[in-house]
Amino acid sequence: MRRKFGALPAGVLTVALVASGCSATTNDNASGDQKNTVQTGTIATDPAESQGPAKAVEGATKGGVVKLLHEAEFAHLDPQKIYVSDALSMAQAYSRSLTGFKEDGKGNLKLVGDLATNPGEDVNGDCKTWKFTLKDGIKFEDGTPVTGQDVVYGISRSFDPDWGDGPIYLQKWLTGNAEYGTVYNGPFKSPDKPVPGLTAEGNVITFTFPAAQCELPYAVSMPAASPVPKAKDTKGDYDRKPVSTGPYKIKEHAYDQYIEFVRNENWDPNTDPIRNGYMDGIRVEFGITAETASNRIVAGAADDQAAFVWTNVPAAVLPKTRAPEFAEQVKAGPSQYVEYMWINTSRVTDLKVRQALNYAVDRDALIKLRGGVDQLGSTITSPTVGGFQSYNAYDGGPTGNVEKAKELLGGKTVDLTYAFPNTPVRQQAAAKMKEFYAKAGINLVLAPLDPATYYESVGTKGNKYDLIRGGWGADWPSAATVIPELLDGRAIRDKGNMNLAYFNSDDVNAEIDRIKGLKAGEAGAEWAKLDKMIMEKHAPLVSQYYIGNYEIHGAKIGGTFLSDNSGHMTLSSMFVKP
Amino acid sequence: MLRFLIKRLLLASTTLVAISIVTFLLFFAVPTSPAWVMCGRNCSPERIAQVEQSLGLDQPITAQYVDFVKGVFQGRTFDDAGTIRECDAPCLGYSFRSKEPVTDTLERSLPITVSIVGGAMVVFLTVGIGLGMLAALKKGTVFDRVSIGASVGFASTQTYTLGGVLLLLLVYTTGFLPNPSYTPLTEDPLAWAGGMLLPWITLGLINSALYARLARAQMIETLQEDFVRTARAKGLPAGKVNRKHALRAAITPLVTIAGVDLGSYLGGVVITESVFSLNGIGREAAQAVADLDLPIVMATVLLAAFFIVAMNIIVDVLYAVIDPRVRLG
Repeated sequence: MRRKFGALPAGVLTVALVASGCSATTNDNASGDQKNTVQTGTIATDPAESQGPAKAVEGATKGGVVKLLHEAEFAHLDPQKIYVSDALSMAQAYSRSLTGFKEDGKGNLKLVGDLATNPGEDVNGDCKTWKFTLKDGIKFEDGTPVTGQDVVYGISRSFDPDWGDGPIYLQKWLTGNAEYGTVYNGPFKSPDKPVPGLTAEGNVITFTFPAAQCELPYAVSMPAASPVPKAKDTKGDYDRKPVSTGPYKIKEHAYDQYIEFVRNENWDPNTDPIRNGYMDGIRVEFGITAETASNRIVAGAADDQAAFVWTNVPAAVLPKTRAPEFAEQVKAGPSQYVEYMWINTSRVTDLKVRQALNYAVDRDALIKLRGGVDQLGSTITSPTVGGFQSYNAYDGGPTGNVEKAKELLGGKTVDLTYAFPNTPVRQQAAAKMKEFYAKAGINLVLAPLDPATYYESVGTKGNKYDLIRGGWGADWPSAATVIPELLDGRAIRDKGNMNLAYFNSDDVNAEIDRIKGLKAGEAGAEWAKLDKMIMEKHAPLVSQYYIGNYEIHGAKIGGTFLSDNSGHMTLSSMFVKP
Repeated sequence: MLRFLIKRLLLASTTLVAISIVTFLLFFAVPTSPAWVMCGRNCSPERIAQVEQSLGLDQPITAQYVDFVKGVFQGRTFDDAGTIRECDAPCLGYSFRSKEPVTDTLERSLPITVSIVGGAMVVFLTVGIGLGMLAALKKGTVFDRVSIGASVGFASTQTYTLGGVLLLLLVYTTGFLPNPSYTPLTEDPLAWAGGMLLPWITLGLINSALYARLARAQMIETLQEDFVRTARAKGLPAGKVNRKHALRAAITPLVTIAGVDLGSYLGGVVITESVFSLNGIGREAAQAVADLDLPIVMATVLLAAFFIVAMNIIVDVLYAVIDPRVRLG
């Protein structure tokens, strides 16, 4: 799971998930600006697709500098620490991984080899041994060639216990141990120890896992699988100025103020199937709220015509951007994130109450409250996930079915405590929920919690909340980073839980184990079935809406579209109009 | 004079020490750990313990405070995930979030706050005091009513209202003024002033209103004093009486207020900085509180306190200069 940028300050712990498989989003689209897209993400089988250069964008010209108006400094730039969606998007500019997503903005998302010649070879066909061969001509920004050792070193850094902000898939898979630190703790603390299961010979990198890991090609698309030159590793300071392998490198970084990216002359477009690298530079300016940034772009002063944002246009500015002259500049679409109301199954043990909560939810009201860029939700995973099947186990229509809920409650009224982060947006939503649930005889007792410690409070087992605000997305186009992460009851611990329903059911756990053993291409449909089964049989949550993206760029920017991988506008194909 | 200064400086340092202790204690009274804020997604109790250890938060409060004080006078070193960092005296700590000595953060954000406050101060003192004096001299006229009426209007608006409206009118809609932004004065004085214009106008208008009202009241009171009547009776021209006698006496209390205002603004103008997207001390401080970034919280609180204490001393000294009746000692 990963967080959406801007989500945490607003009290959202959402995570991204991407599209693969060939699933059409068939949700009814009662509210919102979104166009339904058909996701056709796959893994490239033809090595030619991993070859550079990237397909030229129609009408694109080289040159110019774009400006990202950003709310706050990136949590991290160090590839092994990056996990939040804005930094994941930024990393595209300077950090290349073994694999990457080639997109065309029309729903075609293909995993190809980025540094590697293909998206990985399953050597024995059992998903336990994977081989990647680096392309020729790949260099760091100082001109030093990138070797397999640099990739191994990069990945080894993510084992450092002080580095724990990034994804932890590779660490767990390589060691076969959830507490991977007990096996290996990185090159700083154990300089002489080899990385378990990971070797490099020349340009060939081999992963050997104790168990089958069929999702590896996706996992190594994250910046965590980027090379780092050991000789240039500045450790803690690397987070400020990582060494580039992409089209841009950092010239200057004034923390909390700005970053200036300039062209990396040692990036060879002929090795890169994903990035066009049209602009001469990227300037990131921090401390500019979404509202200010959107207003500035709408105003379109000369300075801001090549500016863009990686955050949703806030409700206050939305009406202006809906004018026809901004049609080209607005990029809207579904995201990987789903908004939930978790039902704490250790407290709300009556299935009928949980079902009633699902029937009575007025999704339309919640979406309108947010400005209308989201889609009605009903499933655990987002429509952008491979194999996605649309269903609604408790279809009360867009505004909910109060009668059905009352019937399930059998004339009783219930009091339930609803925990949410105490921020204006969440307060509004909570008030609305209290209002519509009251009609069904469900009395929400609101428990606004300190946003800074929200997940500490609700993630503690045995907490006293019946209903809990939450959200989720996945790291790559597979429900494998959603359902097992959220609903495998065996992973419940004392603190820091992500399974906020505290849901533990043997039938679901067994299915999770079975599907995890399937090949990446076959698992999608099975996850979708499990998604439905969990909701129908157990209803551990209310899926409220699929969070929509709605970003805007200046009149002089072209070529960009919303990435199905990060949910933000792509840098790879962006250009400045003359 | 010297005795006065020494006495005041001693008092000032005691105040600062007391404030630092209170901030420290308050921080540890918060029922959570900054490790939780920093730990992010992969959080387990073991990981929290590791983060706390690397931040030195596992030490007793007294030991942490002693380390802090030592850092201020001697400098200290920090172990940031294996990277040893020197933090030279005066070391105000090492930021949990930006992973750098706090003084570096202050160095970047202080010039922005000083630019905003300095310019705004010039605007509100000249406009405010000028308007107030004129209104006092023309007491009861249309000018008096209009200017003081308008000042009530401005004084009752807030930075986020007036600033937002001005942004919309002067920047977004008409493009009359440039986007508020910070360019170092030494780099390009014109760009510096251009980017600061709107904050100056906003902060200036709101505060000049207060000063205008104060100045008017002071001036009217002074004009009724015996020494003014005496000066007039001596046959001095009205202009000279107003400037040399009345103004000087009327301005003394305004200096006190302006001094304290300057001191507190330099500690950060959070709302102005936020409205205009300028990353000054105020925003750093607000962000640090949200992140439970103790070293930055400590530094910004101390800095703000320092400015207020220092400005108070300066104001007292200035008193003696402005008003010959005041003797320090």
